[in-house]
Amino acid sequence: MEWHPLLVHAFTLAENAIIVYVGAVHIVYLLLMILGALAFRAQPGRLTRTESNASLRSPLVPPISLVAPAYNESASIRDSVRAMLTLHYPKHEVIVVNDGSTDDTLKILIEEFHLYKSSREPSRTLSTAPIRGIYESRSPIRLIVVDKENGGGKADALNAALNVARTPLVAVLDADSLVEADALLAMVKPFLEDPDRTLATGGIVRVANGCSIDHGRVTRVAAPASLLARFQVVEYLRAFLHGRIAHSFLNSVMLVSGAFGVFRRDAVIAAGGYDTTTVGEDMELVIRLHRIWREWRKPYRIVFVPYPVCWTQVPESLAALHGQRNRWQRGTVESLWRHRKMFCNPRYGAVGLLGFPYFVLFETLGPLIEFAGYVLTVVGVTLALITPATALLFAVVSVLFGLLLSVTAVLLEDYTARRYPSMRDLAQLMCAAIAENFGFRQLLTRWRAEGVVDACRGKTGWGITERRGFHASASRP
Amino acid sequence: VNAAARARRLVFARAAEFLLAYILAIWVVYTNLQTRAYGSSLRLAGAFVVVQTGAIGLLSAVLVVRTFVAEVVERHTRTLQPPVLEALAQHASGADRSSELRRLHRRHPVHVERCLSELLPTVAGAGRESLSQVAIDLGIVARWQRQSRSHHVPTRRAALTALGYLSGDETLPRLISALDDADPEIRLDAACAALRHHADPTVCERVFALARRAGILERAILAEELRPHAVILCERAIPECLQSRDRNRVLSVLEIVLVWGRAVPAPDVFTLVTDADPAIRAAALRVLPFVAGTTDLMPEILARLGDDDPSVRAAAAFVGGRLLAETADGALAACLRDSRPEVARAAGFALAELGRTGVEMLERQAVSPDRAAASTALEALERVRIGRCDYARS
Repeated sequence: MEWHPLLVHAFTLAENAIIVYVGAVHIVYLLLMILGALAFRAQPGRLTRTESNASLRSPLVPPISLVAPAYNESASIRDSVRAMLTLHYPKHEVIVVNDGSTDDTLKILIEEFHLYKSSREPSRTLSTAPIRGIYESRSPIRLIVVDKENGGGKADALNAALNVARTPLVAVLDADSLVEADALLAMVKPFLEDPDRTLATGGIVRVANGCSIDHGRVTRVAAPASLLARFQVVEYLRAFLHGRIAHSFLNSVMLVSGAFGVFRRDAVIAAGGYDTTTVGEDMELVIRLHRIWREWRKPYRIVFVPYPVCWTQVPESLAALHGQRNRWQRGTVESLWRHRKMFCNPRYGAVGLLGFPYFVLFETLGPLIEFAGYVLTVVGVTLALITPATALLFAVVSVLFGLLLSVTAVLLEDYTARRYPSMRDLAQLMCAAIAENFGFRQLLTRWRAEGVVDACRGKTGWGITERRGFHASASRP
Repeated sequence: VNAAARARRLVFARAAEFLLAYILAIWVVYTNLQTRAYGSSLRLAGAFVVVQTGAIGLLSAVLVVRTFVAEVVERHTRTLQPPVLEALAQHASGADRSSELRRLHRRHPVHVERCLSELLPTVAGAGRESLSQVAIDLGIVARWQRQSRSHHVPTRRAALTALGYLSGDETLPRLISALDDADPEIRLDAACAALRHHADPTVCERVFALARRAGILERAILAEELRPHAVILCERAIPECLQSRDRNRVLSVLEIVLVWGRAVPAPDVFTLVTDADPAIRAAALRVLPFVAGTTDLMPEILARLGDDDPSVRAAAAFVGGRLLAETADGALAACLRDSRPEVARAAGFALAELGRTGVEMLERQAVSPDRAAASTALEALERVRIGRCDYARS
């Protein structure tokens, strides 16, 4: 069949544009991967036993508040709070924000931890939904429960906790995240090394599905049985061990996961706290911190620490995963749109010229372009504009590149933490790294593209969230 | 700073090298691909496929080999370590097992060396001396001495750590020279080992100088190690620093005294309470309870409760509580109405620590029309009621 030359020309142009884009993506990802691996080797190692012991005794280590918003968490709140209270840290208090739960989360906390209604007055620095009461424990444990009315979502709950906290540092956690005992000390280490410049630190979030959990602690690490969860293990490894180490090295970290991050409280308050009008409050805050500190021309850094581990349960149903990815993508688009003046703006240094464009070009537009690529390839083959062999070859290039990134992520995991030491787990992860390219990746691309479209159409809300025993995470990796 | 900048440049250069090598490999395959029948873009895609497959194969092989080697090493360690540790432990407790250890060392030198470096920190006195002698006899010490000059940081670090646990002063010069090492962990280990070996005033002062210049974490560790030598340091090193006009020097020394948390003879701290720099005034106030002396502190504490700087007022209130300054109760009660909440809270907790006088004062404030002062007083009273004044101290 003969096609109009203009149509053929337009098609070829679009195909070539996509090939150029894919080439650029490959080079940038490759560079980030290499930079991340080399930067990891060059940076100081994990806390030694001497450092850890000295930190636990020293009055020089700043006190920290662990902040965990909770909404209808009655099934897991006991274990989560216990796990948080038993973290290794010299002076830490736990602030749980009961964000208008409709179940008996508050009642469980009051009974389990012997709480009384305290006279503690929160500061009114950040505006939040009304606080009904603040509870503290009679027992010699440092637990504060803020009971507030629902409204404003997780961001509002975090702002309420920031008003109640009095320590110089705050660690933001999901109530259903499990943090390893010594993770907090490791996260605070950059603040001790450079207290004036460090504004925030983020740690690695790992997938807890398949692991054995006892009293809020992960006791045995194993690859999950569910294929969907196993795909996400590889995805999380890729997300944390590639881009983020490299971006930290360049001081252009754009996201500190809401599941586990430590912030200087005065910096967050100076920046105006969490934004309650976006579903991507974690990313929005980090971008705002970059923006404000750059505008103030003050030296600062936001650090990704590749060692501390926070465990989270990932969705095992397609519906919940769809809702989560749609929300993350909308959050990304909203955050980037709000701070669009930073895009390719040299005034914002590495963030404006590297971090921000990377997120716009590859994380936001990437799914749309990849999706368009799939559609064009199918159309091209159907209309005989390209040969099946050509289409197959390009598909193989794309799959192999994805595989290369996954294999290096697994290798880096082995090098940095070695949480999956058995050959069996490793084989399972490698199989998942191969299999995810056939269906899962395309599905994610579609959902993320939908997320971009939804964000442009102004869709709001959290969508479907899955809650099981030790619950699904609400935060992105 | 220069070392960090150099390290950054090196990372960028090596990343560029890797990327160039990757692109070059694709180019080489592209130019040598024989499928001339296809267009150049297809040949390029083919080159990508070949190079990516090669890279994936190589990385997968590395991963499998690493895992396999780790499993083998772990299996060997599980079998070999117990008899070696047993022989070393018996030797350390007085039995002569040197011939067996020599035999084990001939067959499994790595395991004997590793077990020795693991066991040395856990024994002291005669046991450590016996093990140190074994390490010398087996030539392990000579090897550690060589390795302690290695350019490879982990090797150098491991060797110096092991040398630090040997008894005798032979390794001291090497440890002292390691105080200037480029690696902070090595400096730290060397400093701790040097203090363990031979804590004469010169060594103490060198480690003290290192602690002053170091970051907070290293300072915290070294301050703990220097704790037994506080009195020696108070003779010369500490007064010199406190009398200097160098802000960072003064603040770092005050931090070290705070870590010690015991009565040290450092009277210069009293004069720093009136320093022009508010950070120094606040830090000096916080260490006041740990300074030995007969000076009456009350007038100064009272004066500082009215300081212009809120951090100084908060520190003065904190010290007032720690030193049970009953005569300051009126001033502390006035601080409950301070515009800065941290000062009001510190005053509230200080009154809570004063006992009956303070509690009465708090009860009066709890019903005052000033809402902020009343709630601060109520919170402090709650702490007294449930016996949780510990909050005030942190």
